[in-house]
Amino acid sequence: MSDLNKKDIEALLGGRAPDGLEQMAALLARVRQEASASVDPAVASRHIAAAANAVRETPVPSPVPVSTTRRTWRRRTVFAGLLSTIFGKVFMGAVALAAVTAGAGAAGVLPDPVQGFVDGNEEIHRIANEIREQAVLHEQEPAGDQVHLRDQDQLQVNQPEQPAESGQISEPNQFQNQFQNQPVEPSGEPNQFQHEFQHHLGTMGEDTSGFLLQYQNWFQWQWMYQGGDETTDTTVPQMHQQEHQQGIDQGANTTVPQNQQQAQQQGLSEDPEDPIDQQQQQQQQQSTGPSTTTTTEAGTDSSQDVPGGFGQP
Amino acid sequence: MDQAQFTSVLEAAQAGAEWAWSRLYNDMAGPVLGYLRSRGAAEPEDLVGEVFLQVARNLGTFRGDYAAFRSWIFTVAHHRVVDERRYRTRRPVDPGEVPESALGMGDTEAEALEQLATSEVIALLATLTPEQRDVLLLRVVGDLSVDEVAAIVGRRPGAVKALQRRGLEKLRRAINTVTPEADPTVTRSR
Repeated sequence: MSDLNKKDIEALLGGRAPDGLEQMAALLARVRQEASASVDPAVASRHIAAAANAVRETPVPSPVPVSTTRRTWRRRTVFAGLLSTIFGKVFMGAVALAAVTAGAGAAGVLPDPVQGFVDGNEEIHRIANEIREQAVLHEQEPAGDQVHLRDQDQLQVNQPEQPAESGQISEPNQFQNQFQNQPVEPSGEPNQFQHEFQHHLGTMGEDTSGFLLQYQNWFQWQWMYQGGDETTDTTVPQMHQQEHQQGIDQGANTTVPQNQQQAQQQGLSEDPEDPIDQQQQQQQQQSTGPSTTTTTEAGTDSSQDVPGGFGQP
Repeated sequence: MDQAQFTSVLEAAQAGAEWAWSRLYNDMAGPVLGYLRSRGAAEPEDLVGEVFLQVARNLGTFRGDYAAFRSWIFTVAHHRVVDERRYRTRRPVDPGEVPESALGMGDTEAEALEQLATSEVIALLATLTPEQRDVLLLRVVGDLSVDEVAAIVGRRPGAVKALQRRGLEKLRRAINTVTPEADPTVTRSR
């Protein structure tokens, strides 16, 4: 007796009788006959009525359920899905950090470098523009009009009046003050402030080579204008040259050697702690005015405001 | 019943029309009853009523054609049979209530098959394993495909094919062993 193949099985289940399997086909036909027994009509009517009533009593499900609870659940599921992976955690952390940084930047409470980066560093741009303007003036002034600046003390004393009278140079800002407080490198090498300034510009993404060249010129001019090198001839901007010319016209000599000024002060008060000398000095100041000192050098009278100082070159 | 007729009947049945339910019941109750009886259900007609009641409760969610509807009804019937068999296994029948003819069998399916002893077919089906009997009855009585039977019994189609092949082989050997010269096609008169 061979096994049933696939074709014989399909024929038997389909109600046909393959060769040699007539008994099997007759058996399956009897199974179908036994299964086709009908239900008692009374029982059938009872079942039909119960089914129809069950349909009528069952509420019809809505095709699109609208529920805020479900939307909340779905939103909660989305966030849970985001936070379930490591990439989701990193992403959510980055978004939260960016939001906090943006808020702090808008409030202006970030540390200076970060706040400068967020604000676009407008202060540095403004200073750079001023330096460029000064560099242009420095290039345009005549070569023959050069003034020796020898007295560094007078320059430092008179320096606060320069912007007030020039009208073109603004008040010393934060970076200029920082610049003046930095030790000067006569060799032209960039000092610490220059390095910091270059670093700031580097963070701004600019090409700092051309700008630093102009800034170097302005730096050297400022350094020599303050009398850092007595032997170096430098040019003074035109505005200061005009002021110097006005000072000559008014009979005021601008430059007073430092040793002479020291000698003058020593003549007035050799001992600063001597009350008699201090009284004489006060009387002399009252006779000449509260802020004027008269000196004579090489047949030229020079008068100068002590507090304002060198503002009248 | 073609697809167009079934669609209209289904919509009416979902609305609770009793004529539609009468149509569906007359069309499907016979095979379901035969399947339940062949599977050895104690009260097959009551189970038929429970099957249609369950179908009526869930008819609003049904989507599909007539073949899917037949497969769905047999799925419900299959689950009902399994539940009833588990229930009777946990709660054995009181011996006082068991008929004398059923005493000594010790198997609920054998008891059910004994009640259907009018046919030699039941005796032959009793030689099969429950899985083989499920597959063969659903294939023959329910007229379902291999995939539909696989979905009902929770097996893969390949496993269903293997079960039906083994079941048919066993029936063939049983026929040749029990009645080597007898003709199984001869139907006894009831």
